This record gives sequence, C-alpha cells and structure tokens, in this order.
Amino acid sequence: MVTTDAPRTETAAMTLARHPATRRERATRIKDPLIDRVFMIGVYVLLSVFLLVVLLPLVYIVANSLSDASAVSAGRVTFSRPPLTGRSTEFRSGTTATTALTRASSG
Amino acid sequence: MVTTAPPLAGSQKLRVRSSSRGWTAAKRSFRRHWQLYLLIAVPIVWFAVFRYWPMSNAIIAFKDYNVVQGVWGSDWAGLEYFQRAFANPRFWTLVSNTFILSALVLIFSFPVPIVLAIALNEVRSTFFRNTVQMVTYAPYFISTVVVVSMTIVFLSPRMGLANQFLNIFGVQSIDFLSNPDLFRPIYVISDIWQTTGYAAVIYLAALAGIDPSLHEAARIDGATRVQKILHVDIPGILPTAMVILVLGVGNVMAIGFEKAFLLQNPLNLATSEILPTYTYKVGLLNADFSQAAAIGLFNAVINLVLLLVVNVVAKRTTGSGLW
Repeated sequence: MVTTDAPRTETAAMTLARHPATRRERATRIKDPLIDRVFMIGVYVLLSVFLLVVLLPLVYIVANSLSDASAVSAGRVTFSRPPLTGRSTEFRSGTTATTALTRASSG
Repeated sequence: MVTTAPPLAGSQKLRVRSSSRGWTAAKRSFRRHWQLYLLIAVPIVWFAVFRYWPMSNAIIAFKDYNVVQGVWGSDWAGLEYFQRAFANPRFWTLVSNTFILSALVLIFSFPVPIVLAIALNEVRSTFFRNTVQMVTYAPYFISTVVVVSMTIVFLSPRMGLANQFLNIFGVQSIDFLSNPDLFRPIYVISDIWQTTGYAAVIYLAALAGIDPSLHEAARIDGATRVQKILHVDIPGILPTAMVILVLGVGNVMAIGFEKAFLLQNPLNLATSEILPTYTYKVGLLNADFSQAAAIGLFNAVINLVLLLVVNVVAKRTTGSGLW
C-alpha cells in the first residue's frame, strides 16, 4: 500500500537528482540582505495601513446604510456586529426592496 | 494719372516671398493631410465654443451688468468692482483662506501617491498588490457629495466612529465640524483619502516605464531596495511628478467649490469661507454678477501667473515642465 507522504518526498528528491541545476540555483540564489527584508516588512505594514484607512470608512458607511435608523442615531453600529435590518432603505409607501434582507437578518 | 508703387527693399521682398511660400506650403499640407486637419478641427471647435467663447462673458467684470441690457449692452464700470473687492477687508481673508487650503492640499496630497506607488511597485504578491490598488482606487469614483456625507457621519459627535474611537481612550466627544481650526485638516485628509489611489496609478504607469536594465544593473552593483528607489525609481518618475506639481500649483487658487461649501457651517466660516464659495454667494444668492465675475477673474489671473512662474522654475531646476 502506498502512503500519501511517500510519493511527495520521492518526487522532490527525484527532481533534485534529475536536475542538479536546481540544487545549484538554490545554493547560489542571491539572498536578500537584512535591510531589504526589514524594508519589505515596512512596505507591507504601510500598505496594510493604507488598506485599512480606506476600507474602514467605506465598510462603516455601508454598515450604517444597512442598519436600523435608531441604531445609527444611538451610535450602536460597529464593525463587529451591525444591527442589520435594511429598514433604512425602505420606501415610504411600505413596499420594500430589502424585505429579504430584513428577514435574513431577523431570522 | 498713374502712380507706380515704390520698389520693395531687399528685406521686404524676402518677407513677402517667405510669407507667400509659407501660405503655399500650408495649402499643400492641408490638401495632402486634410483628414488630420478635419480630425483636429473637432477639439478646436469644442474649445472655441465651450471654453473660449464663454470666457468673453468675463467682460461683465468691467461692466455694470444688468439682465435687461445683456452682457454687451450694459454700461461700462471700469475697475469699480475690482476696487470694491480689494477695499473689502474680508476679501483678503478669503484670499488667504483659499491659498492656505489649496497649499495644504497640494503639500500633503502630492507626496502620498508617490509613496503609495513606490510601495506597491515593491510588493511581490500580486493578490495583495491588486487588492490594495483596487481598494485605494475605489473612493475616487465616489461623488464629492457622498464623500462629504460620509465625513459628516464619520465625524458626528454623537454617533460617529471617530468619536467612538476617542471615547475608548476616555477622550470626550469632539464636534469636529464646528471647530474652525479642524476644518482644514478634515478637508485635506478627506481629499487624500479620495484621490490618493487615482494619483498613484499615474505614478505606477511612470514606474512601469522605467527601463528594467537599470534595476538589474543596480542589483548587480549591490544596491539595496532603498538605494534602487532613491537612484532609479524616483529619478524615473520625476518628470511625471513635476508635471503634476506644476498643474497642481497652477490650480492652487481654483480649489473645488463643492467640498468646502458642503463642509461649511456658520461655526467654521472663519476658515471654510473661500473665494469660490464667496463668489457663489455674491454672484448667485445676491445676484451681484459683476462683483462675482471680478472676483473670479482676479482668481484666474493669480492662477495663470502661478502656473507660468512654477513652470519656469520647474524647467530650470529639473528640465521638465508643461511646455
């Protein structure tokens, strides 16, 4: 019986054996200096901050527009659990485009 | 009696001959490339009709305009409306408000897209890069009215997220929009929030145009990423940055009307009243069209002077400008 791990190990070993250049390439690959690695961490942190700064207000406004008016005015809309009702998008006549949304959130 | 024309001097003959030669060459060029001339005629006509012809109505700044007599029939008033504007002590406050707000927007909005573009250019993960690019680009497509509505909700003293966040640290709620000192930071930050992604795309395009062999040569020479950015990327995007800076300075007094007007309230008027909002109030609400045109024309002249000066300075310092 063949185990699932065996072929994977075998294949990797076989690849290295068949293509000695691969091993050589790995050995001679230019390693990024420490300053570059630190710089890249800084880049990722900076871009994550950009991402959050742009995204959070958008999500907050979407959460507000889908939340109950009383919850919005009471400041109870949060990122973690918006009191989603869809009532703020109801038409005055009583016909709602968001009935399904309301039902989904209440049920 | 027959008079004979005096014989032409040598230089005059040459001028006549060269002008007739130029006219013949132009006719020949038109005959040969008439399709191209036809193609360029469309934008020229568009500019003439929708840009230059309306400009002629700015003449009401020098007239005592009334609706019955029309633009051309109204009596001349000379520089009366300009003198009246300059004599108004509030006018110079408005000029300084406009200039400070525009300068702040320019100073803080200009470098942020460059930083974002360079950071995005360094990222290897395509998924992360595309996500950040898409998310930061999205606010550009939101209208100013919606952005201002979002800002008002976000900064609301009772239900706004900004105050909820401050309350966590025990800080009392702040009425951001009623404080004249906070109007400018709010304006600048919301502007950066909305336009950074779009502006970064322009710089990303400029970065993509840099010859990859320069990066390879720098890498072979042992340059770190920071050194590559400083010595390859930044010089590569400098011409683009200079054009954007010159255009930005040229529009420094033509700051948008909508956002300032929508963020305005009686409590923050000390800093939020700028020339465009004042022109709107004087021109449309008080129906003093000549006064509004005089203020608008003054604004446009300052813009033109700034554009010319900055273009000359940019050309002398970096070698790149608008023309």
